[in-house]
Amino acid sequence: MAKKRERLQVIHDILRVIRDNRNKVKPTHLLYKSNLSHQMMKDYLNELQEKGFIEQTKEGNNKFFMLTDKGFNYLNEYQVVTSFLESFGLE
Amino acid sequence: MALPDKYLFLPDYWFFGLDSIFEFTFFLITLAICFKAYKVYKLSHNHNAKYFWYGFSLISLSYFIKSLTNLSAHSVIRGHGFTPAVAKDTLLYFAWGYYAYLILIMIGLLFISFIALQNPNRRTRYLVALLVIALSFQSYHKVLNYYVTTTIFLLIICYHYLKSYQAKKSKNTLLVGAGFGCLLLGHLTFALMETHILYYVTGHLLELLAYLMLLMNLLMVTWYTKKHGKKA
Repeated sequence: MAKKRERLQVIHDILRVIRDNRNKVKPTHLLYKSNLSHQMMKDYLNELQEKGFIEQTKEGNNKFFMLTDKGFNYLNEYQVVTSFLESFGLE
Repeated sequence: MALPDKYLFLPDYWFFGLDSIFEFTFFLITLAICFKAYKVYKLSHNHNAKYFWYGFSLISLSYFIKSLTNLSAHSVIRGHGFTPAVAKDTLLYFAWGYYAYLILIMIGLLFISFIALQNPNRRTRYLVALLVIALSFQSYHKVLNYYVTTTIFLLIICYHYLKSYQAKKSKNTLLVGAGFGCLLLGHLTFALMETHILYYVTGHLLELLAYLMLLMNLLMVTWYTKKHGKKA
């Protein structure tokens, strides 16, 4: 059985999906790519919006999620964060 | 409150003031680690990163206080000579600075050893912290108490890094473990400083080596990873 992803990894995966889709992704596509249940994804998206990593936009009847500058910064810092945690034995 | 039993150690003239430079360097390095740990904690909300941040912030503060009091005391003695009048004021001032250094570095290492102990619950943490502080205040042989306590914490921390290295075979973890190992050796060397100035100097050199290793790991993690986009 696959090891449960760490919270940090899940956040990274969600943000990476949005970035890799030219910074604009529909919720259904995100659900498919993120490999999470609907409720879990909803909880993560709410948290990410509250913390300012992503923002929601509307085009007609369609909703999209986009990364904020803070979200882009998180992706850049992610490798540094995981390297720091691993090398200093903090995982 | 009783003052430390051995709170004024005057190194030989040639090392006078140099010890303050060493300690200020340790302050800068530990401050850098503390700052990075804070940033990592803010991004990851990892509890171990929080303890690491708390630990290094206290250790950094301890070195700042020690270097400041050392430098001030040495400046006064250099300027006025070691007369009885100077001795009385300097000793008191130095004693409190040194006492603060002992307490802060002990609690700082305690926080880092919480990581090694795999996050004991809140009650256990508070109980251990209270015990450490109470023993420090009540102990007559405060300096001896400090060296025994910090040696235990450093042994726990070194063992944690040894286990981490055995599990993941990460060179970075080995470097950090070696750094804390040098810190342990430095502490043990300082315990003998009353017998010969060489131990005092060697202790500083070992601590410098320790913190340079930790700094090297920090730089590898930060700059290498940013430059190459992969883990150091």
